[in-house]
Parts: sequence; structure tokens; C-alpha cells
Amino acid sequence: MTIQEFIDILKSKSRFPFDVQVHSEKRIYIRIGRENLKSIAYILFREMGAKFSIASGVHIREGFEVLYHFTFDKDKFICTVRTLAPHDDPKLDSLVSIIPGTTWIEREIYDILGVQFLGHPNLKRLVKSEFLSQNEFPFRKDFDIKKFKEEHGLTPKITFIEPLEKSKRKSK
Amino acid sequence: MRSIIPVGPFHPLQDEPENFILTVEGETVVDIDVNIGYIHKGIELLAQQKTYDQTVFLVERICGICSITHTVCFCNAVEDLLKVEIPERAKYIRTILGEIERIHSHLLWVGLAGHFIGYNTVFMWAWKYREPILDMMEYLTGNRQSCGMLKVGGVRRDLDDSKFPALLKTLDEMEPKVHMLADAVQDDPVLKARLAGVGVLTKKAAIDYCVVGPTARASGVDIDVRRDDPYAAYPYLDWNVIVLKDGDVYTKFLVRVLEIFESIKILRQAVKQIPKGDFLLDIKEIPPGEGIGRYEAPRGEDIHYVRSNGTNFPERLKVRAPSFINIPSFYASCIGQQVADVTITLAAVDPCYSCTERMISAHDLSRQQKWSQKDLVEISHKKTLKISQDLGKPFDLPQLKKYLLNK
Repeated sequence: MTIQEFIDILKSKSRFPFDVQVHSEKRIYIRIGRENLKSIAYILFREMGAKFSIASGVHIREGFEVLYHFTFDKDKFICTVRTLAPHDDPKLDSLVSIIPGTTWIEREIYDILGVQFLGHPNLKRLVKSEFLSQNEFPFRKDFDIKKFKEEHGLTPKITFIEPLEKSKRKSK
Repeated sequence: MRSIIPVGPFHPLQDEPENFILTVEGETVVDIDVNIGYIHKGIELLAQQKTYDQTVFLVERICGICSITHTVCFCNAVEDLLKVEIPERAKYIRTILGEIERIHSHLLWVGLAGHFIGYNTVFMWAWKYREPILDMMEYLTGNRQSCGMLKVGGVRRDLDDSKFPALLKTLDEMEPKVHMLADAVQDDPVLKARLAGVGVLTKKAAIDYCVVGPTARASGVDIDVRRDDPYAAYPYLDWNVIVLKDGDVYTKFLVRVLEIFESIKILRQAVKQIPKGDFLLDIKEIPPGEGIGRYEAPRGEDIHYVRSNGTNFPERLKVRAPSFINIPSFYASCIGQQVADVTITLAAVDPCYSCTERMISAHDLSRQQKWSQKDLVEISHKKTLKISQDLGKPFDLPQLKKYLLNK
């Protein structure tokens, strides 16, 4: 299956619109609306036999972009599905019921970006430090690392050591 | 009656802090919960404040064992963004370093697996045979781990062709020993009774949980990034993907041992075929865009996603280490097991010990002398020099043996 064949099959199977961006022979990016996330995951994972590799969350100007990377190992390419959760309503459908392997990465994105995954059985912290409250998300662009460090006493303390020659002179 | 056994965060056997909460009925495990995050280092956030050249060194420090893995994977991702092909010689150098790393990582796991089930002979054998291969890494690159060889667009330093005979000699010496170890373990009825049929991960569960690497290949899932998304020099070499069916701990053990032999095969061919020439592309600037890099780490598929905004700093770097996706498969493999079997089942996916520390001061055994870090660095340099001197002469490997014995 080449990338072109893959696009044709996807078009025939799906009943929703999507944009295609072909990066190279091995990489393809698809943009869909967030309401169609579950159906495209079902088509790719259950019907076309893709392997779910990982999801990455990025904070961009329009909202939170979550990219799901699906690898087609036999056909040697990666299909990345990108979807957007807007700022005022950061919610996406959870894929755990279709792909059990997404359990941890959804918890991680919830942890660091604050995107809610609806229908996740156990949406709790994964990696974030207990220093950070429920509403602080380190991967958002408005997160102030400097202020956070100062508040929690994590800034390195700089102490000046007297130059050696000076102290020698004093002892003399 | 149900009771809960918490294991960790300070695991009595594993070095890495992670917390398992086992719910048991009598001796049988009915539920498991895994808590991680005790050594979260914030590397993804830190990478946004570093340039691409600095990030290569940063990702090298994600893991103490897979130092080549993450760097090559990051370079693959940026090269995918740039759509460039690196020079042939650099491809071969990356292959050689990656395969050396795979051999020592698999031997490390074999040793630890023996240690976990209380069979310390296997532990001592495996770690003894691992030592020359680490010394080989030091001889070739200057450091046993974190050698700083990689750069976007190729490799930072060239390998010396005159050093390859010593590598081949080490492999020749090592292969029969690993054969002996593998045969001894396969013939041992006690080990077979202890490991066969324990912690079975079925093919369906392996596909559902999207596991990768030897964990998946032991369950009959035929995936290997070296073949499926070829990078470096793997398309030019002749080797096999090891796929076995049973999915228990014993099969995972066999997959790893057989992969050591495949790695030796790859190394011999790569050393023979390596072309002469340029080893680094000159990359001026990185345009806006995104790239995905893949790499077959010893533990499975490693994947990096890089997004660039046209500046010197990556806008986002997402790192997915293989253990991240392999560890949730515990939910499938541990339930229904005996408590005593869970230890080895948890270790069977080779969870990555991502934190290694360096010493700052040390005493010698007589407690007379105290070494500072500077002295230790000096000693390390002396050792590297001695290894290169000993191995520099062709067909002089007995000296390395003698050296290792006297150490």
C-alpha cells in the first residue's frame, strides 16, 4: 500500500472531511475535526491494522494541538492525525476504549497541557510534580518557569568566593 | 479476601524508583497499578530552551544505557524535517555504535533476569562477557557511555579504520562464550520450569497495548524498525528479525539472546563494508516544519517528534521511550499470576533504568587515599589510553584479557 492508495482507501471508508499533507514518502499528516477522532482511530487501528505509537501535545496560538502518530509497519510509513482542542473548551474524546495503549499518554497530556479526555477510565496524574497545583500546566506557553522556581525555592543560590590571593594577603 | 501489597518506590531489586500496587487474593494477583514520575527530569521542557546542537547532548542523557538510541533518534527526526540524506560513512558508524549498544544492553538484561530469579551465576557470566564490549566502545569512541559522537547531519568524529580488527577479535572471543551461556540456560531444567509459561502476553494483548521491541517479537508480532522504516546502514546489510510465538518470560529471554548473535552478524558485515569518505553534512539553518524520527532501541521502537519554528531552538520535542508503551502491558501480563512470578514478569520488558549517577569522591579499599573527581577523570583517561595501547597492536588480545584479569 502506497501513500496514495492509503488516502484513497481512507476517503472511501470515512464519511467526514479531512485535509492531507504529504511530507515525504514515509510521512503523512492528516488534519481532522475533534468530533471525528474516535471514528478515524477505529478505521486506522481496527480496520487498517496500524500500530499506535504515541501522541504529542503542543500548545499553539489556536489552542492545544494533539498529534496521534500511527505507524504502518508493513507499508513503511507513519500517518499522523492532528486535531485541535480550543482554548476555551480543552476537551477531546478518549481513545482508551478502542486502543488500550493510549492510557498513559492521555494521562500525560492531561498532566502537562490540561486537555481533558472524555471517557478515560482513570484520568489522574502521571509525571507532574506535586509542587504544581491542579491548574498549573508546565507545557502551556503562559507558564512562567522563573516565577515557579522562585516560589518553590528552586533557583540556584549563587555565593561568591573570595579570590585566593586576597585571602592570602589577609592572613599575612 | 483481598489485600494490597505495595512494592516500591524503592524496589528491593530494581535501581529505578517506581511504585507497583498489587491487589492479591491469596497468592494470586487480581489487579495491578503502576505509579511513575519519581525521576521525571523535565527534559522535553528543557529542550525548548536549548539549541539543536545542545539538544543532541541533552537527549543523550535521557538514559544511561541507551545513549546512542536517543541521539540517533533525535538526529533522524531533524533529518526528516530537513529531508536530507546523511553520508554513507556516517550511516555505517551509526550502525556500528548502535549494535554495540544493543549487545551490551541485552547482556545487561540477561544478567539482571538471572539476578531477579535468584540465579546469580547467570548474572555474573553475562556481566563478565559484557565488559569487553563496553571496553570496545571506549576504545572506539573514548567513552563507555554517553560518548558524544552524534550530530545532526552525520557524526561528530570519525572512527579510525585501524581499530576495527580489535573489534572483530573481541566479537570472535565473545561469541562462543555467549553460545555457552545460552546453551547452559536452555539446558537447565530448573530455569525452564521457573520461566516457561510465566507472564504470558498474548498476541492480541500485545497488539492492543501496542508493545514494541523484543516484548512484541516474543509474542509473535513481527515488527522491527530497522526493517520497517530503515535508517542508517541496515538496508545494505543481511540479517534476520527474530520472531517467536509463546510470549512468556522464557521466550523473551530467547529473543534477546538470539538478537545478540544477529547483532554480531551485523557488526561483522558493517566493519567489512564501511566506505571511506565524508562523515558530516554541513547544515546551516533549520526551517520551520516538523519531523518524526524512529529508531529500534534494544528495548523497542523509540520515537521522537520535533517541531521547529525557524529559530535556533526546537519549539517542541516529544520523546517516547520504548518502556513508556511497554510498561502498561503489565495490566495484561501480570493479572492471574502468582506474587512470586510477578517480579520477573515486571522485569521481563526490561524497564529502562534512566538514571545513572557519577561519583564525586571515592576511597580505595585500604581507606588510605581519597580520590577527587579530577583524579577519577585522570584514572579514566589512563585506562582508555592503556586499552588503546594494548589493543592497538593487531592480534594482541591476550593483553586485554590479562588487563581485565589484573583489574
